[in-house]
Amino acid sequence: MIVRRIPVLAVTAAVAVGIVAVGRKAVEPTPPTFSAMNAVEPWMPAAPVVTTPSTTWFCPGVPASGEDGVSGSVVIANADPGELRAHVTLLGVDSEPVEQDLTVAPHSRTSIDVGAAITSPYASAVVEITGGTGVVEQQAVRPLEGVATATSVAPCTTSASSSWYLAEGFTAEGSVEELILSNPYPQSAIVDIGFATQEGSREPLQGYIIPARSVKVIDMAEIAARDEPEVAVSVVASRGNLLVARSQIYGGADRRGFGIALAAPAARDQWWFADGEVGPGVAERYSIYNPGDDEVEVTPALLGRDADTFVPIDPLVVPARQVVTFTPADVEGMPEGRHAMVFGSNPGDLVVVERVLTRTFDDLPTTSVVLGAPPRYEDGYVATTWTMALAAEEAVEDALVVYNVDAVDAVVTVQAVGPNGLENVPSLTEVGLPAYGLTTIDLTDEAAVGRQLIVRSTSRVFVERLLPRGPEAQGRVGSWPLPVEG
Amino acid sequence: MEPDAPLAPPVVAVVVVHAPGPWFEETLDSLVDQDYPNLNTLFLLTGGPLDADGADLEARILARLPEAFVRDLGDNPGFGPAANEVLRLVEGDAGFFCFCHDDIALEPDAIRLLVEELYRSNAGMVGPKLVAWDDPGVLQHVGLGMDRFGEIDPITEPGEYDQEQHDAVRDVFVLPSACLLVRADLFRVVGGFDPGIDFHGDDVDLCWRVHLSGARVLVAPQATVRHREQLDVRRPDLNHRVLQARHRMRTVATLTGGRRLATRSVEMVLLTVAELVVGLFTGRFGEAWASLRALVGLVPRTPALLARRGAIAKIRQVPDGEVMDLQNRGSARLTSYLRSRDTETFVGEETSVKRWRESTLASTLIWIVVVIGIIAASRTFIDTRVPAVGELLPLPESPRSLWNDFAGGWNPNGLGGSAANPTGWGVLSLFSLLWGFRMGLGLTVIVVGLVVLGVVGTWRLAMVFPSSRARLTALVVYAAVPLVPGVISTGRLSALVAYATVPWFVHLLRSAVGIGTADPQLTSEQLVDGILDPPVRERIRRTAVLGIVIALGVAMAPAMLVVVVIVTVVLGLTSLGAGAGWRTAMWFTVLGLTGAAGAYVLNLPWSATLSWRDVQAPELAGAPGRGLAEIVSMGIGGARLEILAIALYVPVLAALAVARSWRLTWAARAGGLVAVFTLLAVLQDRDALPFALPDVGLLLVPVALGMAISSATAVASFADDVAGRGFGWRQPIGLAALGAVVIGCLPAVLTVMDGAWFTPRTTLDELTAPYLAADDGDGGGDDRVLFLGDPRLIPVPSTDLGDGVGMGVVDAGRLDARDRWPAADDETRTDLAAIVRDIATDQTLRGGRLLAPFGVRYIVIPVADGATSTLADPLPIPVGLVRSLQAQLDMARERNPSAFVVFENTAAMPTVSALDAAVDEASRADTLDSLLGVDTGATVPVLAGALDDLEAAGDVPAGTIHLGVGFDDHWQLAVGGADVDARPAFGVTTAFDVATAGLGELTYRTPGGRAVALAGQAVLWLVALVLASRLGIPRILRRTRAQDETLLDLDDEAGADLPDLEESGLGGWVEELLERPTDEQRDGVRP
Repeated sequence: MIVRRIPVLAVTAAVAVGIVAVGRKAVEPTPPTFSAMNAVEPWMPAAPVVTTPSTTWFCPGVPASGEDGVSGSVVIANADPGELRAHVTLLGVDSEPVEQDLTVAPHSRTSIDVGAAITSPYASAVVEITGGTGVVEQQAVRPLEGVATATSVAPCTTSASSSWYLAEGFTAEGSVEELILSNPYPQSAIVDIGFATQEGSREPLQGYIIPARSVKVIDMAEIAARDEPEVAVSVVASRGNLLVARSQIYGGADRRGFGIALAAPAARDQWWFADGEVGPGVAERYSIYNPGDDEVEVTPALLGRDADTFVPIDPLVVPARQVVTFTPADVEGMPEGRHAMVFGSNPGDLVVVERVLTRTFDDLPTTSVVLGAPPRYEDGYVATTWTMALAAEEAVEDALVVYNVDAVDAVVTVQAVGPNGLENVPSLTEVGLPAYGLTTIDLTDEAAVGRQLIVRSTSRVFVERLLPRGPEAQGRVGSWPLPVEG
Repeated sequence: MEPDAPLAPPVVAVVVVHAPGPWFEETLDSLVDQDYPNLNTLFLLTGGPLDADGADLEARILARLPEAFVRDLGDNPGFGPAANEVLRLVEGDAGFFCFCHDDIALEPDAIRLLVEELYRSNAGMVGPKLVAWDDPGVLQHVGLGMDRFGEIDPITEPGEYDQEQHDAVRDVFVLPSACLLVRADLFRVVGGFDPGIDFHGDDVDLCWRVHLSGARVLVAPQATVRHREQLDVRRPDLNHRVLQARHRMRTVATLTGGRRLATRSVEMVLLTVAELVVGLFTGRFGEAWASLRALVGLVPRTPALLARRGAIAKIRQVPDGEVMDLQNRGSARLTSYLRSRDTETFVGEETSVKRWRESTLASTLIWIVVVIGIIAASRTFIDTRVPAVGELLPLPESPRSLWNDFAGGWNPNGLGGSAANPTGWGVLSLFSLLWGFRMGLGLTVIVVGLVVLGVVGTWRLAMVFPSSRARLTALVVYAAVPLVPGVISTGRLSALVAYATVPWFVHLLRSAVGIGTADPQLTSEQLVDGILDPPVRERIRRTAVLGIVIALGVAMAPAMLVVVVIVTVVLGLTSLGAGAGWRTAMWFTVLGLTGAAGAYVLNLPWSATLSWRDVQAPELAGAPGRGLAEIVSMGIGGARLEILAIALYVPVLAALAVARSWRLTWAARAGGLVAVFTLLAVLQDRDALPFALPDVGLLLVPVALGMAISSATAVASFADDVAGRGFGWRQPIGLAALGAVVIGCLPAVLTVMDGAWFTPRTTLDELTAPYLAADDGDGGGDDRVLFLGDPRLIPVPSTDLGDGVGMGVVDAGRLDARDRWPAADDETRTDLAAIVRDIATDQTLRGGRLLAPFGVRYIVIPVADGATSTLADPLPIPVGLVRSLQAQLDMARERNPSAFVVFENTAAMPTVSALDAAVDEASRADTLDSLLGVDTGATVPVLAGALDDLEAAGDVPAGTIHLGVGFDDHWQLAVGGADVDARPAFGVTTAFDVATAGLGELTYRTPGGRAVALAGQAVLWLVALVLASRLGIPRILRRTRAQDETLLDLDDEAGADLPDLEESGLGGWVEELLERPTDEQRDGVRP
């Protein structure tokens, strides 16, 4: 052996062994990520917390037909100390978009009368805000039988989606359910629309085109979902993004009411509800829609009651592309009174859950439909702060229902945006909220009336608001305020 | 001269001396010992006053020959011209000149015997028998034959032992100038040596003229002279091959008779063509090439040649036919080819020796197979064209425009910007001469040429092996590794450039270090390298060549610089580790790094704009997920059965295990390259390095070269170190290595069958072309395309956006080769990247408006390019990318094939446009955010083509004219003859406020500094080329120290009045001279 061979051979052999040792185990490729926030399914409508170059809000649609008593507005609330600029584009059915610029003074709200600017059965709005944060909500008003004005408040959203789902639908007893499909983009969107009833699922509209920058309205009755007591809807775009909202007019004996709200942009495995009630004069029902191809087991859980009132609820099996309803009152041992609910399924088993709550006063039922609130997809985030551009325009009791997600007692403070900026509502500065507890908050303080409100908690909470149907109408309509993104 | 010395005609020994070594003592002694009674010595110093050891040469001579004449010529004009000095320094016609090299040793009776024979045979010139310096029993020359083309045909065989078989006096056509005796009057009559011939061929020309004068040329083998004959070693600065060919052509052109000249010229042309063809397949292409150069070089020298012919006509005394009869028939060159008769210089331990070069038909056959294989593997390229995949982009249509782009100060890549443009553009433009300016053919020539160049480079490197088998093994392995189809099929032009360049780099580096072909007959285990230090000037020359080669590589592929630096370090360390000594290791390191530094300098000012990100591999989100087997088998592309290439690691280890002597050293170097670069490639591929390296394709090139050299070493070792030994562990290892080489090369068969190096038949470039056409009917405006996605699929150098996403901007229309160089728009690109990030983070849904000032109309997400990513196995689209773009309110997704996704920016502005009032107002803000509330879609295109042509003219409206380039006041707009000042727009781009509508002229004025920079770069290249050349100081500029004085008059010397040669017969003083003197007499005649 030549001496000089030894180090060379040794080093080479060592490197060879090293290469094999290092490379023995394959390394899985890491997929590239352009946008973590767009990598996941969109959340519920939420308010951005930081100033961005521009924030675009999509409002799902309000009636703008010009009929008597029918109106719609978009409200932009500016809690910042600076002026806020907004460019509003109103999209209508078979009409050219209408655009207008406006400014919102500091600590104030500006309302846009949609019907005054555009005439269309429904009009949706795109509000592009530059120069600050701001929140946008819409309000729709229409007369109902026996009620002069029925008001529906819904938050606008900052993200469109290519898929939308509605678990609850009702076309029986003369009720009218319409889908409002808004396409704010410069290209046509093409969607497939399907629905599920108690008889099964169908896909009556495939390749349905929503032209660029326009709105389409589809009456569910016209696509063979007539007189259905339970209709779940899926709208999936094969091209483009859009917004889908449901306009529901309940006209029967058991349900009465009007509401416009966004559909769910994604199915999820958790859906939370802060409000719910079992008792006389209250009809509470949850519709659970499984848009997937596999059967899903969903477990409802009663929340917000004392620990000793645990009520075991059997899991619900939701077949593929089917909708299943759950009525808490049917559960043995269900206590009467307010409660919160959560519906959970195994990770990856995705469903959509909506709640129909009909409270009857003076023999007049008031029905409102609320989509459940999911935690944020990517990190399970549940907000500690919620904001709303539209709150009580008059003193209202039990206007907010707050559920504490955490196992610690919390303190809730309600703030209002007044002429001098953000200030606590004196009577609502430290509202106690027990762990896993539920509480209702009256908005009777003058400082809270007619203003943008912000609800802050020391723990993670879900907040529902129950706004009066109208100045002269009894009953409340439920909706979610906007969770503030963390 | 002693008064009692026998009367004899005077002889002047003319010794041309050039920095001699220790052997010169023997030369001097041999002159001292001459028994000729009337000998004078004249020493003409051509290498300065000092010898090789720095001693005073004149003193050294005079110490031995006190009466010698010594003259310093100041410089070396070549042997012949130097020797011609005797015509000035010595007068008179009576007597003889004996011309001598400074590396000969004459036997004591040599000159006397020459004179005797000259008289006896009534000759004009006579020469001795030349024997080997170290072994006088080996013949060197006994005169030389010559064919009519001036080609020498040595009468003796190299290494032929002297058995008195050539001892008869005979006529020859040529006498080597190492030692020849010529009548002084004859020498004057024929005009001495041809002053136009410095080295090589001076003796041929002189002898031919002597024949023309009617004098005889004889060899007198009784006179014996030892000769070192190492001109190529002593003067490595000379291109001996070229000089031989040039002077041979000159001699034929000037000395061939007028009636035969035309025929001879045609024959020369045909012969040269035949040489080229034969040389191509016999590994002697260099000689044939030198012949071609020399032949072509005759054309501009025609006037001088005619003048020379006129002068020679006066000395013609015999018919040309008679002279021809003395020449050999046929072609000595072709005969030597066919007989494979040739010698080669082998290097031992600080010595060199000429031996027969092994030459077999196998070399020819394998070269033919390899060349045919490469052509067959490229047949689709040759039939049609190279598909535009990866970096393999078609060349621009016009070499002139390419050159103009290079020389200009505007870099149109990316978003455009004033910058030093890539040297590669200039190189490509100049090299377009190679493909006859047919740019469509150019890419094919480049791809196929680079493969061939790499293989030839490996062959040249493998010249360190004396065995043809080893050389051929290296050649075949390097040609057959799956890396070649891997890099071509994925369009890795940079890696292909490295494939062509790295073997040449290692070859030139070892040459600069001084490592030559090891002497196969030296069996010393201690011979770690066949190394012979070249002189300083030659080392500088070789390093300069090295630098130029790297510079060309770097001009085309900047990442080359990193690879050659690592190769240099590896070679230095492995040389040290293999026992080659610190000096060799130091030379490897110093010269390699010097070459790399030189390459960087030669690419200035462009190279100064390069950053590490321009040389590193595209940044991915993590490991690309290739397995170890894919890397070590070089399976980085479309090759088939590449897993078999793993077998090529067997010879790497086998060579280290069994090789001895200098083969072990090369096994270590090759093993080092394989080990280090494989390790780096594996770590790089696993994203396990703390720093980024060039693409894995480049890193695998040294691995392939190491495998080739290891395989050659294994083959050489099997023959030299294993086969002859008793059976043991070496034999199985050696056999396993040989088998592994065969197995490892098998995948090449499939590559040849594919015919297109496995490149995709349909490329992303073709698919996107209809969507991204420059003229898409949008009104004539110019647009840009923004590529977003996996950087491996972006067809231009991309900007890293993080998390494995890249961004690249190109002008709409087909890409060309210019686009593969990094853009020089850093600041503007940073702004663009910020907008893209805003889109990614939902900071805006008006990304289209923000992109508008940059002229971006299309956003393309590549999915499958057919090479790195296929529809069957696509790389994933970056998460959230489509959704983010889809969420933008001003981007519309186009319908397109599944190979890519296209969004059109509905708010796009042409790159040169007239702004409407709202956008105009927004442009005055110093932020792009001012665009968010403004509809940018209503801008009007103007001055179309301005960014491509760097000038445009047309009507422009009053208002603001916007240029989608970073603010640059080298762009100048004149409207109605009045200049309009440029201003920044949106805080980023360039705008002009036009007061009154009119005819506008938009031009780009190249910065003045660009011309200076170009001139500087030209000077640098010129210096490098001069250093790399063998150019010497022109003769006219050389110092001549010799004074125009007469040192000696032969006619005044004793014996000068002896009878003329014709009258002497064999009586009188001749008989006396023929009697061998006694020792006493010899002592008595010593000067």
